[in-house]
Amino acid sequence: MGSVNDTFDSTLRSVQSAQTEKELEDIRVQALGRKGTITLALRGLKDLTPEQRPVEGEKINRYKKSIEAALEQRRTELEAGISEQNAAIDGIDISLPSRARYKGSLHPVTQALTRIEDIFLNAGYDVVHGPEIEDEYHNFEALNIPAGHPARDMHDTFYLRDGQVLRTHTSPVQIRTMESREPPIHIICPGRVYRCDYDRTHTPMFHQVEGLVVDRGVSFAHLKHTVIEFIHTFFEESVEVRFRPSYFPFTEPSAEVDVKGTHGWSEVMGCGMVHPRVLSMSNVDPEEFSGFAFGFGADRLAMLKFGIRDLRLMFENDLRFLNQFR
Amino acid sequence: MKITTSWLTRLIKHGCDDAELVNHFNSLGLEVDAVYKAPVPFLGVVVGSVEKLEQHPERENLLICTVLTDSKRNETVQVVCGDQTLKLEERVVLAQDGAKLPDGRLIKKTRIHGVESNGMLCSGRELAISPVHETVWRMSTDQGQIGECPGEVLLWNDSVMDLDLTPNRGDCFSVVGLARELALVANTDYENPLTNDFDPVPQTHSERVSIEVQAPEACPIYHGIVVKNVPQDSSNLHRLRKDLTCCGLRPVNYVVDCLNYELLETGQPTHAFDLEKVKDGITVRFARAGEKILLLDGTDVTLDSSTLVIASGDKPVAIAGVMGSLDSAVTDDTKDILLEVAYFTPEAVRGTARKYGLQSEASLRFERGVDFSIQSQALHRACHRLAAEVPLSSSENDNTPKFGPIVSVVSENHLPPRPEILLPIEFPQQRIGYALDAGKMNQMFEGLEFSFRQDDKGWWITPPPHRYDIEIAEDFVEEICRIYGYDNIPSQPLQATVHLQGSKRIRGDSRELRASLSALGYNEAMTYSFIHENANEMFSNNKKLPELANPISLDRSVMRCSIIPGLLSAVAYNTARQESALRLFEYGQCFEYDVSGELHQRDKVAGVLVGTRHPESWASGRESIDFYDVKADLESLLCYTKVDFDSVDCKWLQSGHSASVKVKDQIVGVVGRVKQNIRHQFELEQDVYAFELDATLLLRSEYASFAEFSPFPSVRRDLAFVLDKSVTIREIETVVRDTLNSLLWDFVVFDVFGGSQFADNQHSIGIGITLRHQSRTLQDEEVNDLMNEVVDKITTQFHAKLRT
Repeated sequence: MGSVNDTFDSTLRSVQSAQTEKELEDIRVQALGRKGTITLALRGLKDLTPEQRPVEGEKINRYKKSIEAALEQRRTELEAGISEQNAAIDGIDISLPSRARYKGSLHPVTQALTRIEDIFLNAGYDVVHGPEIEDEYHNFEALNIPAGHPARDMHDTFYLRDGQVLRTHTSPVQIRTMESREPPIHIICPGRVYRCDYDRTHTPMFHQVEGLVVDRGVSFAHLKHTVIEFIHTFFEESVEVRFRPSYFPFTEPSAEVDVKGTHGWSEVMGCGMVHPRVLSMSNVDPEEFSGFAFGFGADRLAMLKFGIRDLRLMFENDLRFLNQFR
Repeated sequence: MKITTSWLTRLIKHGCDDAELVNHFNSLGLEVDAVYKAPVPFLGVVVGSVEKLEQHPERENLLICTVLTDSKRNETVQVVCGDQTLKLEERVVLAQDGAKLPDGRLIKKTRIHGVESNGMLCSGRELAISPVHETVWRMSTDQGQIGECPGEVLLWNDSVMDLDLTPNRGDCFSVVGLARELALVANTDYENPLTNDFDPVPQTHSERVSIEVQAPEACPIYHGIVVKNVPQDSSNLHRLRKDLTCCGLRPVNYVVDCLNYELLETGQPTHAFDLEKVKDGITVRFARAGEKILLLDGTDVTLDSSTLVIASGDKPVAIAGVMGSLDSAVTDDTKDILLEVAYFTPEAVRGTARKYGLQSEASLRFERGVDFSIQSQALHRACHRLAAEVPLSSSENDNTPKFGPIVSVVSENHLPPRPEILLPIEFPQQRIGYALDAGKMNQMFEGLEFSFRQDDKGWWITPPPHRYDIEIAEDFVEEICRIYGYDNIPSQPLQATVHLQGSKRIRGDSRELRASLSALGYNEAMTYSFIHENANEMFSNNKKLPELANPISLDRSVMRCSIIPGLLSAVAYNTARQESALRLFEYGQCFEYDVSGELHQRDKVAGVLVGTRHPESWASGRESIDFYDVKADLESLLCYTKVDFDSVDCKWLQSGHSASVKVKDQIVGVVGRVKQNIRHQFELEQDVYAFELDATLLLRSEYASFAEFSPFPSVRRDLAFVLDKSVTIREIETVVRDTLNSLLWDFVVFDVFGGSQFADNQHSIGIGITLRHQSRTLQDEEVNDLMNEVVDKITTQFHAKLRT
């Protein structure tokens, strides 16, 4: 009965290598048809001895099932192959443009503000907002800028007819926070601010972010570290940073911060240790607490980050500009 | 404050180059805005060499001179000249045809007694570098190249530094003040011309003017001296005038220029009155309300009673520390003057200049605070200066000024106090976060001219009279940091207690709204918060507007009550640039008074849309956007909450095409088509759809809570009705909802169409109803019964016909 074994193996091989439905059918008839090898072998069982019969019968039936299974599997494989071939034949042009939708964008200043907020939020600061129309007390007096003080000339202030002002910085939000919270305070205050000024680098409205930290033992060295780390984080590189003494009525000592770019130093920030008079006016005891504050234009940082030369572009809302910031 | 490098380096022992100066000043907090070469005051003037000299054929005292102006190309210029001492090959300065001289004269080619003269050889006086006018100016061969402008090798080989001084540093508005600062960091001493051992001015006559100070609290020091026979010949002032012009001061006359020079050098303003006009004596007093004065610069001012004036007789002759009157001013012809050297307190001057719109070199310094210890020295220096600049040639005629006795009124108790301030030992280290050597700090205090003593508590420091910005211990910390160098202080990471906190905003904060709208295809815009008054009126019912008192322009004069006008302008801006489809949104504060007159400032989010529904493509038509596009956007934007739309009467939206937006039964804004007349105001031709929502009402602070959902299969039934167009979908949905109650899983409108097969006012709507039971599978019969009930109600209530 060695021939049945050999036939079985060669049948399985030819099933696996069959390329068409027709070949498979021929193989099936050869093995399992009325005169097929397996059918004949089954018939031949009756000539065997009663001892051999069950052993051989079981084996040939196993062969039969294997061949049937192999035929079925190969048939499925061939069908799948045909449908893939057909799909490839009537494929589509994937280079045809899509059913397009409008694509929106976020304003570069929003993107810069989000980045700035995240940097400080991640460090545990709060983001605090406040009104854009302010009273003179919160915009000036509480920041140690009394009426008639020459520092008021540094702020080209817009006044409302009712005597209120458009805030010239977001520092009033710091005052409002100190009035309503106990130290330790770690906040940043982003928002729109207003000054009467208009040229390539000044618009009458722009965005400022001010930071305030009030706690025990806060020092100028802490301020320096925070500012430098922020600038390096924002620009994602270790740009050179320079501190210059300056003057703000609400900080002492005060500093301007410059960043070195390809065109030399450019001013990006003002900062300093919160003036004790500002602390005590907002009910924080300067004997117990000290603090630092910093402030910068978010539009200016966005300009540096995105390489925008003219600040006025930010508020023209030209689509050719906005679409670049997707 | 502008200053020339040469002037500054005259006062410091070891010079610095420009770059070093800039670094030093910046690190001291005296910001250098710009550095530039001293501007040469002439044009078209070059160095030349005398090539040929001939006698003028008609005039014995004239020479015809040929001057080489370009040695390479051998170009020469012929001029007629009167200087008989000229020799061949001498270097001269030629003003060419078209040249402009410092006194404003233009040089043109001309004929002098028949001989062509194509320019002029300049004298020292013509070049403003010497008083000599009799001979032409000779240059040595090592000074400048032939054909070049001689300015840079003459007096103008100098640079000008423009410093942007902060208002607390009045002490730096002088060359002395800047030199003192420089000495702190540049490892050099400086020479203070205001020392106590000065040469007193010799008194040569006894005429005096009486001085009465009625307001000693505003004017603690007033010195006056009569100077007779003041010089008028300013030909020797060339150096001084070069410095003055470089520093931004216009030359006026001998007296004024000498006094201005002293002002810049010492920081002490002085004033000269025509003696004739103040013969009746000087009174320092506050003005009487309504008193008038015509000032030097021609402005006519009506004074109020808080203005300190200098009066003579009954007439004010100056606003103290700001400006003198025109009438009492020193002119080119003035012979005798009264020289005033006074100390006015910052409080007396501050605000005055601004109130009358006047700003002067004097007011700039007085309002920031002048050193009150230098008035005597400054007076003597000013007198020496008046005597020193008299040209040599005219001094033979005794043209020197004559000085009378000094009349002084001083009330020391009104001088600004300089109390001792304690700087505790540990304070600098605490505030700086870095320990500096005490000996080093002592050195700094000495350099700053602070007087101080030390005990076990710390330093007891008295700031000098030129510093008005030192009041508290923190001020010393700044001085220490500044001189040590901000950049030399090591930085240190901040340490803080960690507190955990969750967000109070779960959905709908500005960040999410922005991100959603951007994902829906809107570009974020940022428009100015101030808009045109008319624009505000179009969008607000309120008569009272948040109006600016000093707007940047009339079309930006009111704070916006709505973002829409800004966005409409932005749309117009872009449509004028060939953009026909736009979706813009903005998030920001808006401002409005309520009926009780209280101002509200609220965050709003607004959007505008124009153009087609989709960008142009093969796959979509070119339909214009309509209400349902914007409605869809809002439903997506606010998908985290329940939104309803109701018809609304809105000032700027077309009725019948607009709706209020309700979130949880509260109106949060409006949406719809912008009224035609409004879009025309913005020059927009196409339909504009817009929405504006109060962003503060869109926040959701709680999370969704889970409800068990039904595991049983749903059943869908579709119905179509023909009915009046006036029946709204909301009415039909309400009937369906009320009939099916909790069994209603979903309700859709799958079809709306009209046409000739229906009556004019009718159309067909197709609705799809999905039902699902919470706890069992629905049976066909019960669904059929329910559908029959729905159909009955709709056909009877709305006179509808079921389509089959």
